[in-house]
Amino acid sequence: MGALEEMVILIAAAMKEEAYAVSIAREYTRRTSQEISIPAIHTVLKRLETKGFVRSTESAPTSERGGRKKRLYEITTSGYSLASELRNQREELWSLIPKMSV
Amino acid sequence: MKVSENLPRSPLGFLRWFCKKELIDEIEGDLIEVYKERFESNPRSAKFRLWKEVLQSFNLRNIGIMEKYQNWHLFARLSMVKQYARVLFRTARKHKVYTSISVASLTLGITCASLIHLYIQKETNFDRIYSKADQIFRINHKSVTSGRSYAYAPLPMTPHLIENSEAVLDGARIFKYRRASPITVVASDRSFNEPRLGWADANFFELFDLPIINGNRQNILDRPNTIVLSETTAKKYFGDKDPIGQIVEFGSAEKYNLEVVGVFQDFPSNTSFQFDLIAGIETCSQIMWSSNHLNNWRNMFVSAYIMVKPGSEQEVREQIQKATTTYFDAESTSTWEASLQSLTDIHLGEAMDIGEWSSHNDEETLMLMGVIGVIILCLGCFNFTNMITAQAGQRTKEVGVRKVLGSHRRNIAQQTIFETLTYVTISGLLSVLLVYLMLPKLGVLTSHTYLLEELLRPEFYVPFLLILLVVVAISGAYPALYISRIESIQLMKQASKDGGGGIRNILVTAQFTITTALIISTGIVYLQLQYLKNKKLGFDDSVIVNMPIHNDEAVIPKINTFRNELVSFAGISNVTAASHEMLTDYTYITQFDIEGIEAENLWERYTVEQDYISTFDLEIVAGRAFDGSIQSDSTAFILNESAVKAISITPEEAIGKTITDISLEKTGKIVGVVKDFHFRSLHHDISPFVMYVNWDRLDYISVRLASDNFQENINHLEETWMQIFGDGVPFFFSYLDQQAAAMYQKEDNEMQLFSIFSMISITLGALGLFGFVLFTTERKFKEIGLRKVLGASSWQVIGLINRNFVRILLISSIIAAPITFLLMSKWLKDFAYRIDQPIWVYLATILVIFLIGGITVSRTTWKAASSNPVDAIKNE
Repeated sequence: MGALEEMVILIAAAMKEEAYAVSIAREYTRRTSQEISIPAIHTVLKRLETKGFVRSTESAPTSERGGRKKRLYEITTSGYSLASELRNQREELWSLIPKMSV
Repeated sequence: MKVSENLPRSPLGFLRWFCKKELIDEIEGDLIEVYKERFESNPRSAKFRLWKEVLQSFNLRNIGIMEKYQNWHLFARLSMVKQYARVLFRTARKHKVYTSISVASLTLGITCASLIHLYIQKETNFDRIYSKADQIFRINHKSVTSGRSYAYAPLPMTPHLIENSEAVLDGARIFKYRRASPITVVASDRSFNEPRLGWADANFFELFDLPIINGNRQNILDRPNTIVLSETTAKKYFGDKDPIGQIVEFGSAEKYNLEVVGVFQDFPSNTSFQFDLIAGIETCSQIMWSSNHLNNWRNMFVSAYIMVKPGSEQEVREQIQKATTTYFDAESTSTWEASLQSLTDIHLGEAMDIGEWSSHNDEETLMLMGVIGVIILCLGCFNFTNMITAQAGQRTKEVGVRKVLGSHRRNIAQQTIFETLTYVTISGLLSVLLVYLMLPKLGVLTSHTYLLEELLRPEFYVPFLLILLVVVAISGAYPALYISRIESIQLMKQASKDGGGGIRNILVTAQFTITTALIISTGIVYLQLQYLKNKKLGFDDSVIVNMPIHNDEAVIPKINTFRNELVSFAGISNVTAASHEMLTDYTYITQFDIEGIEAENLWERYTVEQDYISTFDLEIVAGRAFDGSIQSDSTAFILNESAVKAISITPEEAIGKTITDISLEKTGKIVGVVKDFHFRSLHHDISPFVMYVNWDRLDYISVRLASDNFQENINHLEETWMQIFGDGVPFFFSYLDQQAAAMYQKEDNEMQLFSIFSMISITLGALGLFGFVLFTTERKFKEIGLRKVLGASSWQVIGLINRNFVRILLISSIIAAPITFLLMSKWLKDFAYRIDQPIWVYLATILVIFLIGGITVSRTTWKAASSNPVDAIKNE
């Protein structure tokens, strides 16, 4: 799993409101102060979905989207366990790093 | 600005086109949402980024174009087309002769139809280039007494109507002098004789909004002594220099300065107005007429055009009639009926007897041309259909195999239509090339100019494409239906069944009927023209030259000196002068009173010099010619036979009677009667005609030259002219016999067109017949072989093949002859002098058709008849 994928899955899991490409991109920009394009998020989400880490549902169409439906994503249990596994791995590694004064 | 209505359409449209159906909601919705958000801060970059993101989305994961077209079997279809093309290519290569005949026939047909279409379009758009054309009317008058119609209105009529009628929005008069006018360019001191000079009201170009290249359209001729030139004339006079402000001189003896104030685009060939120069009518009045001329109701020799409020034509006509009755009838010896004629109706509608400028045409001729175009197109299509069905007979095996392997009837029809489409496309391309090459020739034959860019206008290419579609429909439909209908088992069983024999016979018969009719018509048109050209005009027109002198005061007193100088020269026999040019279509009609006769005689007249009769070698039937040595002959009159006949007396009784020209108030005695001669063109009957020597004006000098040493005589004529009249009067001349020939230009062109059509149609007919016989022979190859083995001679075989073809030609002749006879009788009715339709033309044509047919089929039949029967029989 790549860094961007991990970031996206974490954001999707952490978000309180609806998680869909636009809100995820917004959140991403807020957290990292880096711009990201919507198609890039789409690509990541689709990849995660095929791997089974997120699942999606459709919402009702809204007018500000030109009458298009949203596709809302939420994290699956396997996604959650993967994320926590990743976190554990990192923490383990972190504990091995000697302390440095920053 | 609300964003929602302004979503950029092209990127989203593209997205919708390529995107998979199940993904479109998410992707488009997301993109729109961020777009709107970005739009608030920076619309331009928002749009740019939308494009960028759409393009980023254009990746394999999202693209769903293929699924969209899956149901259409696009690729399956493409491979079918490829297969059709391959078969087509192989068939074309195998049957080179059939293929070339098909393409050649279609190309000829389409080219002809397109050319005729171009011509008809020119004619039906006559006078329609002006934006107000629908509202413009010409005022015509008809004399109740003489029955003659004039394309004129009294001079004060137009201003009178503009002032007094609400329904008349605008109007302009234009006067065309019937003789060429001498114009001198001051800057270069060159003289020109300009036959196309008009004198018009200042607002002429507002009514007729031809593009003005240089100068101000509004009241362009407002100032006196100004003139506008056509683009070509301006170039001719001044080259590349700016013509505005330049001075040209009008007139020969007395010269008037005219300042060039504008340049208009040349009048196109399809408008009634054909002018190279236009000057103000007020100026004309000052120079040539008396001061009060423009206000005098008596003067009716100028065309008047008015712009009428839509729907009030009837009201305006009544107003004109009222003005005519009140002001004009009082001045005239006749009562007059006024009428309005729509500008767009002038060229193809009713023609006036007097005062028409442009060559007139009628809708019937156009209709005939259109019908001929369609017929020739059909001839081309017939050949094509024949070829395709003939091939079909040989391709039955192919069709059978296709059907057995599962082709639907629709597929077979598709294949045929595909082949037709390919042939038609190729022929269409060739036709465009041919049409382009033929444009100049068409221009000469129809007296129009055709520009290359006219081919690029939708007015041309839309009908052209329609023609192609019609061709596909006509020539593709039958074969498609015919071939696809054949049952597969039947096909497999008898592979070489002769297909479509009946329809092919009918088509070839139709072709030859039309061809025969066209050739006979051409022959009769030709004979009629020869008849007109050779008909004795009643005078000797050989080697007479006419020189315009415009009633010039500097010339007239010196005519006698000029004559004496010339006749002493061996190459010149006679010199005379008259008020008219022989064969002119413009004559004066005046009323003559004759002693003891109670009739109102409206007769045509020339005023002439005394030696007019000897110069033209007119034949005297009673009395004598004018004689200069008899004192009283200065007031003598001579009549023609028709005039004497009109008042029911014999020529001898007429001699000595007193006659008076009412309008010119000239009286004298009749001294002679001449045999009828054609003072007008042969389109007209010879009407009563008077000549007298007490002239009011002389406009032409006519000189008879000896028939040898042409150039020398002309040189002497010019030298003498210069010597006596000086440089001030330009020397121009024209040959009378050439003018006589030019009168039949229209008929000459018609004949050329007819010959071209006949030639094309006979080519098509011969091509068709050739293919037909080739086909029959191939079909009967085996039969011929067997017959020969069993003892038939070559001649018997030839007879066998040709029996059918002779039958077809006979039937064609029998149908064509009576139809042509009726049509040509109708055409000949237009001529006052015409031939009877000679039977030999009919017989000769039929003979020619048989000869051409015979030659066409001879090679094929001979080859078949003289072939070795073994080849035929072993060929399995």
